[in-house]
Amino acid sequence: MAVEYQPRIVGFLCNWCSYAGADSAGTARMSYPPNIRIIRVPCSGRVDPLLIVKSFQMGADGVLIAGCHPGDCHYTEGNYYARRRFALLRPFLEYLGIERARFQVEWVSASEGKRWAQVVTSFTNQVAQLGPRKLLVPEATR
Amino acid sequence: MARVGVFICHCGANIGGTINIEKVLEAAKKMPLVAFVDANKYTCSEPGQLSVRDAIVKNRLNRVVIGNCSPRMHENTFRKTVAQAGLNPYLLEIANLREHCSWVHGNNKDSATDKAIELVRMAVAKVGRDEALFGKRFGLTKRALVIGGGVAGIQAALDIANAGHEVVLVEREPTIGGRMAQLDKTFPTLDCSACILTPKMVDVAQHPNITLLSYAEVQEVKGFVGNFEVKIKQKARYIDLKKCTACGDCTKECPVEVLSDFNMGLGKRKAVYIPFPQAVPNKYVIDKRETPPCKTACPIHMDVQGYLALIATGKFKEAYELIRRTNTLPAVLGRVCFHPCEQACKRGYVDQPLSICSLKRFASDQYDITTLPIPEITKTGKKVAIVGAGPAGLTAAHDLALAGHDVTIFEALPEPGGMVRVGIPEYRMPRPELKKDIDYIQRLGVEIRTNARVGEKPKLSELQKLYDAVLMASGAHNSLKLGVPGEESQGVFHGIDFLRAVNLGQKVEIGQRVAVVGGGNTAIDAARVARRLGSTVTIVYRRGRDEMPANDVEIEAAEAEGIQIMLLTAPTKVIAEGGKVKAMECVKMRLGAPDASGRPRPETIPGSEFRLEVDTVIPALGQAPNLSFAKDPEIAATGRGTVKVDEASLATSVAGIFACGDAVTGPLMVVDAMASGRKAAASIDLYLKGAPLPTTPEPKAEAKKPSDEEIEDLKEQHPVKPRVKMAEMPVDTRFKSTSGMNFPEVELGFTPEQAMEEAKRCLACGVCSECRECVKLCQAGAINHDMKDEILDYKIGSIVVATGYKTSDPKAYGEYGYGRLPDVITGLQMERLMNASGPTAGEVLRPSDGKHPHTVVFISCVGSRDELKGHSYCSKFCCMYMAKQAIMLKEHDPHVQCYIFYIDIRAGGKDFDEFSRRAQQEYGTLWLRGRVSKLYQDGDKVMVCGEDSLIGRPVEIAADMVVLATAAEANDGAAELAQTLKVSYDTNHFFIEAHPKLRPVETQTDGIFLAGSCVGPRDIPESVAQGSAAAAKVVGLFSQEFLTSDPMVSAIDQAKCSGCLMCQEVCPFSAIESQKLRDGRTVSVVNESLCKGCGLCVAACRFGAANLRGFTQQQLLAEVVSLWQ
Amino acid sequence: MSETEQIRAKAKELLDSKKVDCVIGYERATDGKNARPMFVYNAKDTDRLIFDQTCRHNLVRYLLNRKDKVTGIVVKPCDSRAINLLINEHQIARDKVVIIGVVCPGLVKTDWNKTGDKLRDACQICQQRTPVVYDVLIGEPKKVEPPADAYPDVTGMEGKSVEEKRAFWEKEFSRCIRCYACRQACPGCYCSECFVDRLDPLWVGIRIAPAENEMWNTMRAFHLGGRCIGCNACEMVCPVNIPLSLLNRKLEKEVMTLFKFQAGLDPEAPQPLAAFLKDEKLGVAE
Repeated sequence: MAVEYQPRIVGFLCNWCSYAGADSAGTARMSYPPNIRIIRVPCSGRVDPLLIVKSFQMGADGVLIAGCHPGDCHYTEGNYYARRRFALLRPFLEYLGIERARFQVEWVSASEGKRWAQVVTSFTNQVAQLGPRKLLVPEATR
Repeated sequence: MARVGVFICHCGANIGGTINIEKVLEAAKKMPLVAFVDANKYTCSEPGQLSVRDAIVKNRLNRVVIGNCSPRMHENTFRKTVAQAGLNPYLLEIANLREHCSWVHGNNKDSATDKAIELVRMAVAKVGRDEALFGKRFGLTKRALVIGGGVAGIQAALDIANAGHEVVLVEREPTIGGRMAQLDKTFPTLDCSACILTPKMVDVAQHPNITLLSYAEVQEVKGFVGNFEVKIKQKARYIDLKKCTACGDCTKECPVEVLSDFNMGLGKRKAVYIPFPQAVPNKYVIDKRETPPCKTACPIHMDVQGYLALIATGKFKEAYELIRRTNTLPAVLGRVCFHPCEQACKRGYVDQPLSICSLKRFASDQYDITTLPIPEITKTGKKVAIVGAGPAGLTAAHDLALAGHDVTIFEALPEPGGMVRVGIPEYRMPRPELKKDIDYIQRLGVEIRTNARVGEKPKLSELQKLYDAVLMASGAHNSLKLGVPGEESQGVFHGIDFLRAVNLGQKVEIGQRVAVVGGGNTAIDAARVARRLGSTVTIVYRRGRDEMPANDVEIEAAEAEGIQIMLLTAPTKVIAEGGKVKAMECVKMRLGAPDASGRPRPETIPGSEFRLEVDTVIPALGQAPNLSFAKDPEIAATGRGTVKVDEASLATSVAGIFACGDAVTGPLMVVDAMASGRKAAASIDLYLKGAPLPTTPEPKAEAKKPSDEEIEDLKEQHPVKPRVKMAEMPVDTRFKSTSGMNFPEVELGFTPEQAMEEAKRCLACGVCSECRECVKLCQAGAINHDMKDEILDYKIGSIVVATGYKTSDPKAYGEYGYGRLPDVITGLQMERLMNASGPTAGEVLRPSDGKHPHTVVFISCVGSRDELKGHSYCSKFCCMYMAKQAIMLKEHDPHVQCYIFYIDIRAGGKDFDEFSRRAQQEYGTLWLRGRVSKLYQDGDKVMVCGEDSLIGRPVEIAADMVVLATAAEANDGAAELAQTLKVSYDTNHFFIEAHPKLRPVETQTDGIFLAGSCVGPRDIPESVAQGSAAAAKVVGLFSQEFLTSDPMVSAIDQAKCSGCLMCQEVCPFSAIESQKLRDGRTVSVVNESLCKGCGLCVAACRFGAANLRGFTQQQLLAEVVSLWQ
Repeated sequence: MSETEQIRAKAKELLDSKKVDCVIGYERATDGKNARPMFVYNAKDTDRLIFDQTCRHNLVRYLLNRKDKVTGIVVKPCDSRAINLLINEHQIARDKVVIIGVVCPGLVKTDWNKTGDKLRDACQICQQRTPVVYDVLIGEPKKVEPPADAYPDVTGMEGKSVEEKRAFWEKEFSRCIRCYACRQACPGCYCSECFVDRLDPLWVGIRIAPAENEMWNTMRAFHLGGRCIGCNACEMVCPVNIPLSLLNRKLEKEVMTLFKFQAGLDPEAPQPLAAFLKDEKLGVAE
C-alpha cells in the first residue's frame, strides 16, 4: 500500500492544562502519531494569529491550539479571548484556501492525558487525509 | 555571540531506550549557535548537573539547551544548575524528549528520533533568542489561610501557628473536626477518634495565633504568593459566639426537627443545634436555609412557618403572639385574605398547600385579645391624622401609635373597618371579630372619629394645620359603571353600594330575579348576599370560569348555595318599563387573543343577543378611589384617578401628606392595603423624626417555583397527606338571618386537633421557623434572628487547602436497596451507631426495629474501582474500616458474626495487614472474595445474594444488617474552589498536586499547598502527615524576608505603543495602566507586581509593543521557523 | 442650496468663528475631473471646496496627524464610521472634531482625466447612506432597504472549492508589489511600526514573493478584523487592483454573524476581540 502522507503539524499548548495533559499522556505511556511539534505557551490567549499564519506560510499542514476548558483558565479569561480570535481566524483561513480541518482548537485539561492522545491522533489522521497543502507556486519559489 | 550547549539526558532507558541519542547529538552539532553537545545517563543527578556546570565553564557556553523530561518537572532544577555556573537562570531551554517524545512514541524509534532532533532544534532556536531576566523583590504577609478544619487542616494550622505565624482557619461547617470527628474508633490501634482529635480541636480554639472562622466559606482570592487578598463569607450563625454558653436551653422549645447531618441522617436534631457535644467552637447554631416561600409571598411577610410550627406543637397562644408581630388584623386576615402564601406553599407541589389562612384564624379564635397586654409606649408628642379607618389606615395607625405618636382616624362611614366592614358580608367576616382587632388598636390610644367625612368636615387643609402629618387611606369606594343603556333605571344597584347598604343594616329593596354582572369577589359577595335576601341569583360574566378573578372557594360556595353562573355572557342593555328594570339584554361571547392583562380578550358573537328576565341588576365591575376631598390643598393624582405618590416613601405631592392603600393602588386585597399602610407609617415616622425619607423602593420579593428535581425530592420525602377540611355551616341553615340583614358565618373554623394535624403538614422549608421561642429561653441573650452574612477581608501570604472528602451516594446501586431497605446503611452511618455521642448513644441498633444485629454483612467497593457506576479509583481506607467495624461489633456483642464481601484486601500500611488478619483470626470475621449481586428484605432479615469467587459458588446470607463501604469523593464545591484559587483539578474534582511524587503537597500555583483527602482518598496518618508537610512548606516560605517575582512578565515598548488601550481591556489582572508621556502621547505600562505573565496583551497588541518575557514573539517565531530550516 | 454650497458655507462659518483652525474637505483635482483632499486654513479659500460623486478619499485618516487641534472635516457615511473607530481606540477625541456629514449618493468609477457614470461596485451594495456621527448633516437622511444578501461578492467566493480559492488568491497576491498604499490610505492602519516593516521579529520576508505577499495581505486584513469600516479606500488606491474588499468584507461578515458586531457604529462598544461571553457558542472546540 502507498505510504500515507506524513503531515507537519504545529501545536501551541497552554502550560497549565494542555501541556500538562500532554505530559500525563506521556507518563501513562499512551502512544500517538509523532507528527506534532509542540510549542509551549503560558495561555492559549497568548497565541498571536501571526504565529499561526506564519506556520502555514512556512508550510505547516496543520495547526492545533490547545488550552484549558472554559472556566478553568489559569488566568481566568485567556481561553475566552482565544476562542473568539480563532473563531474568526478559522473561516478566514478557509476563505483563503486553507481547509477548515487544518486548523483546530481543543480544550484539554491537565488530567486528560487520554483525551490529548485521542485529539492528536484524530487531528493527525484528519490532516494526513487532506494530503499536502494545495500550493500552486512550488515550495521552492514561494 | 551566542554559544549554545546542548545536553541530552538518557534518563536511564526512558529516553535512551527509544531515541537514538547519538543521532540527536550529531544533528545538534550542526545546528546554528551550537558550540557544545553532550549526553548524560541522568542529567538531573548530582554528577549530571556537575558535568553540565563544568561544560558551561570550560566551553564558555552562554546558553543551554537540555533535552530531558518535561520542563514542568525539572526546569527549575536546571535553572539553578546553570545559575551555579554563573549564567542567568533564564538562558536555559528544555526540550521535552520524554513525556512528549520517547514515552509516547516508544513503538516508532526512528520517527521518535527525528522528532527529538526537531524538538532540540526548536529549543536551540528559542534559546538563541532568550534574554537574561531578573526578578523583582517584594515583601510578603506572614499570615496563612487554612481552608478546611478536618484533621489535616487542624494539623497544618497548629504547626504553622506553633512556628509563630498567624493562621486563619476557615471551616464550612459549624464545628471543626471534619470526618474524623464522626468516627468511633480508629484503625489499626483502635483508639477512640474523639479522644485523640478533640484535644487538637481545643488547641486550635485556644491558640493565640489561630483565628478560627467556623461556618464560613472562602469567596474570592486575589493577588499572588505572599500577597493574597482573600474575601471570606462568615455565614450568619444567628447566635452570638461571645454570649453563647452552650447551655442548650434554646433547643428545649424549638418546634422544628430535621434529620441530623452529623449523624448521617440517623436520628434528628432541632433547628437550633450543636453538631456534637465536643464541637469546637462549643457554640450552638441556628440552621436557616431559604426564606420560606410563604413568608416571601406574604405582602406583610408574616412568620408563617413559625406560627404553623407553634400550632403544630399546641402552642396556640405563642402562635397568636407571633402572628401579632407582623399582623395587626389577625381575625380579619384569618378569614378574608386571598392568601398568596398558599399559592407559594411548596407542599402545594406535593399534594395541597397548607390552609395557612384558616390556621391563622384558628390561632386568633383561641386567643382572648382583650387580655393582650399594651406594650410600653414613649410618647413623641407628634400628632398624625389618618383619613379612613380601613385596613390600610388601621395598620398605619397601629404602627404609628406604637411609635409613640398621637393618631386620630377620620372615618366617613358610621362604622370603622372600611371595605372589610362595608364591602365584605357578615357571613364571611363577622362584625364582632373585626371589632376585636379594631378595639385593640383603640386601646393603643388611637382615636377613631366616625361619620367624619374629610373634605366636608373637617377639610383636608384644617387637618394639615392641626396635625404634624396626614395620611390619606381613603380606599376605593366608587363603583365602576356598566356603561350600557338603561343603567340609571330603578332596580339597578351597583355592587359596592348594594353591599355597603346591606352591611350597614339599611333596608334594600331587591326583586325576585337578580342578575349580578362581574366575576370578582365583589360580584360573588353581592350574589351570595342577594341569595340570602331570598332572591334567585344569576351571575353574568363575559369570560370563562378559569378567568374569573374571584377565589375558587368563593365560587364553589356560591354554586353550592344555588347561584347560577352564566359564563361568556355580557349585558348590552338594561330593559326597563316605567323606569323599572324588566330584563337585561345580553350577548354571547367567545375568547380571543390575550389582552394587556394576559387574559384572553372576550369578543361578542354577532347575532347571539338574548333577553334575561330579571327585575334587579347588580353590576359589580370593580371600584375606584374618590379623591373629591383632596382639592384643598390640591393633591396630585394619576391618570387612573389614584393618588400620585413617591414609590419609595408614599409621600404625596404635598409635603407632610402621605397616602396608602387602595387610594394609591386602586382596589387591591386587604393584606396589600395593610402592607401599604405599614410602609406609609414607617416613612411618616421618619418624617416626624426629621430623618430623610427612603428614596429607592425595596425590591418586590418573588417566591420562586422549586425546580423539578426539588419537587421530585419533596415527593420522595413527604407521602401525600391532603389538607384537613374545615367544617362549614350546612347550606340550608346559612340563610337564616341572625339579626336584621346579618347572616351567620359559613366557615366554622378548625378544632385544635384539626389545626395541629394540618399544621404538622408544613415542610419547614426554612428549617428554622423563626418562631423566636429560643429567644425567650436564652438567658445569655445570645440569639439574634436578624443576623446577616458578613464578608471578611484578609491579607494572606500562603494558603493550605484541606477540604477533605464526602462519601458517595449508594443509591446508584439500586440492587443494594439503600434508602429502600432500612437496615442497609453506609460505613459512616455505622460509625455513628457505634459512637457514644451518636443517635443510639453507642449501642448498635438496627434502624428498622431497634434490635441488636447478630449477622452483619459488609460490601466493599460500593462506588470505588467501578468505572461504570462509580469511580475508577480505590477509596483506600474502606478495607481497613470494615475490618475495624467487624472487630468493634464483636467487641460490642460477642454473638455478632460479620461477613465481608471484598474484591481485594487493601491493607498496605504500618500494622494494617496484621490488623485485618486479627479481624479474621481473633474475631472470626469471614472475608468472602466476590461481589454481591442483590439484597432483598425477607421478614426481618436482609437477604444477601453474592458469590464467593474463591470457591466459585453463590452464597446467600440472611443478615440483620448490611454495611456499604461507599466511595470517598471530592467534597462538594471542590471544583468551584479550585477555580477560585486557580489550581488544577482532575475529572473526579480532586486537586492536582504539582508532582505526584516529588511535590505531593504543592500546586502549580506558588504559595498554595494541599493536604489530606482533597487530593485523593487518604487515611488519618497520611492526612496528618500531609498537614504537617504543607505547614512545613508554608513555614519555609515565611522564613524569607522577601520573595523574588517571576520575571516572565509582560513589557510594553512605549516607542511602539499607539495607546489603543486594548491590552488594558483584555488584562484579567488590571496589571496594565495608562501613562501620559512628555510628548503628549498616552501609552500603556505594565505593573509588574500585578502581571501574572499570561500574555493576553501580546496577542491583543497589533503594534507589536507588548511582549512577554520568556515567551517573546521572537522566541515563539524562532521555534516555528526552525521547523523549516 | 447644493451640497457643495452648504459645505462651503459651513466651512466658512467654522473658520470665521475660529471654532476650528482647519477644515479638511475636497477640491477639484488638476485634471478637472477627479477630486482631491484639501486642507482649508483660510476662510477665503472655502469656495474651492466641492462635493460630488468623485470625492472618494477617506479624509478621517488625516485627523491622526491633528490629534490636539480642533479640526473640521467632511465625511461620507463610511468615513464617519472611521471617526467612531478612532474614538473607540482612543486615537482622537470627539470634542476635537467638527464633523460635516454628507448624505452619500455613492461614488462613481473614476480614472485620470475621466469620470465614469457607473457607481462603484462597493457603492452599489452599500446600505450606509447617512453618516452615523456628525455635527451638521448635509442632504436628506436616506434609508436603504437591506438586500437579501448584503455580501454577494463574499458569498460567491465562499462557494468556490479550496483549489479554486487557492488559485484565486495566489494569483491575486502574486501581483502585489508591496507598495503599502492600501495601508497608507486606511484610517485603521496607524501602527507606529507596521508588522510588515519589522525586522525583529521578521514576520514577513523582505523579498517580494507569493508566500510573503500572502502573509502580508492576510495579516493586514486580519488586523482590521472587527475594525474595518468598509470605506474601501485601500482597494481604491491599489495600483495592481487586488480585490482587498473581498478580504475585508469576509471578516466583516464573520464578525457580524459570530459577534453581532459592526465596526464604527458605536464609539463606546468594546471591540469584539477584546470582549467575550462566557457561554457563547462560536463553533471552535465544541
